[in-house]
Amino acid sequence: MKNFLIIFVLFTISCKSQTISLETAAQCMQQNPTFPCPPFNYVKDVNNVLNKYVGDWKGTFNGLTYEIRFIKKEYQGEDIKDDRLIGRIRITTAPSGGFAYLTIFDNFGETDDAKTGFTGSRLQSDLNGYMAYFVGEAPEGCINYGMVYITVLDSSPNQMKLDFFPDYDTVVEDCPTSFQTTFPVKQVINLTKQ
Amino acid sequence: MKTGRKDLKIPMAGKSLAYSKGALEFESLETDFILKKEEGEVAYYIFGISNAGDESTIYNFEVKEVGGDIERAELIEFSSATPYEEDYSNLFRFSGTVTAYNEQKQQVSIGIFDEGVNPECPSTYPPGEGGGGGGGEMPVITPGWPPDPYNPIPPDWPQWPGSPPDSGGGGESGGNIPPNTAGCGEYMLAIFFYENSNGDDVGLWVNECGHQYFGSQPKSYAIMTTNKIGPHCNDGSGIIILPGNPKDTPCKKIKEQRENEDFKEKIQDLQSKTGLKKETGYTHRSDGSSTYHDNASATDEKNTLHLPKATLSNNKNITCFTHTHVDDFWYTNSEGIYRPKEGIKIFSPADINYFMQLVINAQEEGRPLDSVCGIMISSMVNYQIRFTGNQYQIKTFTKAQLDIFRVEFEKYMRYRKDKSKSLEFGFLKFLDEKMNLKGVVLYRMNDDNSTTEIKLNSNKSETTESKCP
Repeated sequence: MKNFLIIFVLFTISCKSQTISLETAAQCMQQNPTFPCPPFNYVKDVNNVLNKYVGDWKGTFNGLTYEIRFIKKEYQGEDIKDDRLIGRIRITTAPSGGFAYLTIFDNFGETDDAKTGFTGSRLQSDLNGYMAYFVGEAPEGCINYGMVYITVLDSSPNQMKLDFFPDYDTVVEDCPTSFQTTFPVKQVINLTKQ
Repeated sequence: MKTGRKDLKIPMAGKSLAYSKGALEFESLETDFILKKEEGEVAYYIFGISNAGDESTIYNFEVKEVGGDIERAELIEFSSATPYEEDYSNLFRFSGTVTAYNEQKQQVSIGIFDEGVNPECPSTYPPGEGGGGGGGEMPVITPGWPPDPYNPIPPDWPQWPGSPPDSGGGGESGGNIPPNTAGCGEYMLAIFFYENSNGDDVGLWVNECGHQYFGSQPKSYAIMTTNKIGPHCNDGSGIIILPGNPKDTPCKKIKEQRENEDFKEKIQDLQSKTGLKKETGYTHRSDGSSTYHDNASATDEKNTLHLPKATLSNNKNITCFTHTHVDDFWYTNSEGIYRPKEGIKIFSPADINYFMQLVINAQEEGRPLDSVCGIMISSMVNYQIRFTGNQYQIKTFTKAQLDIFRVEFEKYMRYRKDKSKSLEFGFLKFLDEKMNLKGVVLYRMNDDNSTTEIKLNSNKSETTESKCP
């Protein structure tokens, strides 16, 4: 019984020691990091840096209205856990000509957080933004997945700046020239907290 | 390996082989696989002959030793009336002639078989017993034993001890079973010899009918026939070493590939292009040609690497694809904010899917499945993948599946980017658990020209590495 207790206590300590902050992970999780990552199995939002992104955001770009909703979830993932944002998106055309609006993209109705196709990933290594991975539908030969980068400055907590860069990947057919990614590439969309 | 016996010449009559047109010379015979079988005082050494034979002829060299003295040494020709099946399973019901030639080039003995039986020789049931010449005792025939379509196990009878449920020759439960003997159940590992570099158990495999073969589950190197297919009635090892060099592994193929000047040049070319803001690559075809692929009009928005569609008939001969994963960089968005563009420096689910399409093509065209390769060049580590599984483990994925994998892959790999070991482990685990894809082996192409094979360990908690010889 005594042995069992000792083992149990050691186990608890070793688990606790493997938690690192989002900021630490962002800086050490690089090809040539300034410092190596300590052993970890949980990347925790120790300093609550994700909280400022949580909520409903709305903005317009090129005549389209973008509505984004972020929630924060803790201790997600499999063998390596992390705290992360989960995103939902609705994109509509602006009301015009007597029509209310046209929905271009909307997963606000997706109740399963694992299926929104918009999952928070990591902080930028310069800590000037957070990256969320987006996977949208696309015809064969096109890529509509990659990182969405978001920044909310502490000095203007009601303003969010968001842009997107698609992944490089292998495809086998030609992408139709009319294809456009869900988020415009490198173009900043300014959103206001609702 | 050479026999070193320049004095020996063996005439090969009747076969239209390049080797047998003149005389098959002992000194030119090459062997790369030797088995020893002991039966008390008697020992057999069986040498596989790697440079002779055709689709219906196998050559072995067999030495019989009694009490330490060599009693005979002969070249044995297994000449089948019909071409050998891919898994050589027709050796178990061999029809044809087995001829022994001695070192004086003379035909010394011949056995003529029909459906696995030499009518001139007494039967030696039960299998696996009764060695050198003595013959076994008469078998006790019970319902279901010997297993035979005319002697089925009654439905309410228990299966005989240790017999596995009948696989029906299917591909379930990792059932990559060579030689296929429908109705005889799965092969079970009877005697374990060693674990090969693929992590497969190599040893003697036996099915319910007593058919045996030596090798690993995915690949048999030799079989042992129960009724001793051989030139001397029931006298001999009964072992037949199959063609197909057991050492002709992906490791060997990668070694040859990496020594090829043209290949080296292309790798160097791609290595110098990882800094481009687009992926570039080559496809290689079975006729030896290669094509460079580069999205010449790449922009930030459209920078994908378009490879030839592997399912088209004129692309079926693509055997390998080599491509870059670009270096991480920072870009500035429309308001001047710096954003890191980071990639995962190992094969993506889309890369894997393309690779598996090439494996399907190899299967359709009858090329070895492990001749297909996918190569990724990056500023971190260069990797190669090969397929060492069986035909039942081949699969490709739909676009919808790949989209889901893409989400999962990012989640799986996000905290594994800093160390190649961690990247490799995440990748292999993702293949195994998320894509449920078995038989894909990862090779690290080291800077010093050596290659390291990387696999998951048996409980999938970490990777194991073995350096290619």
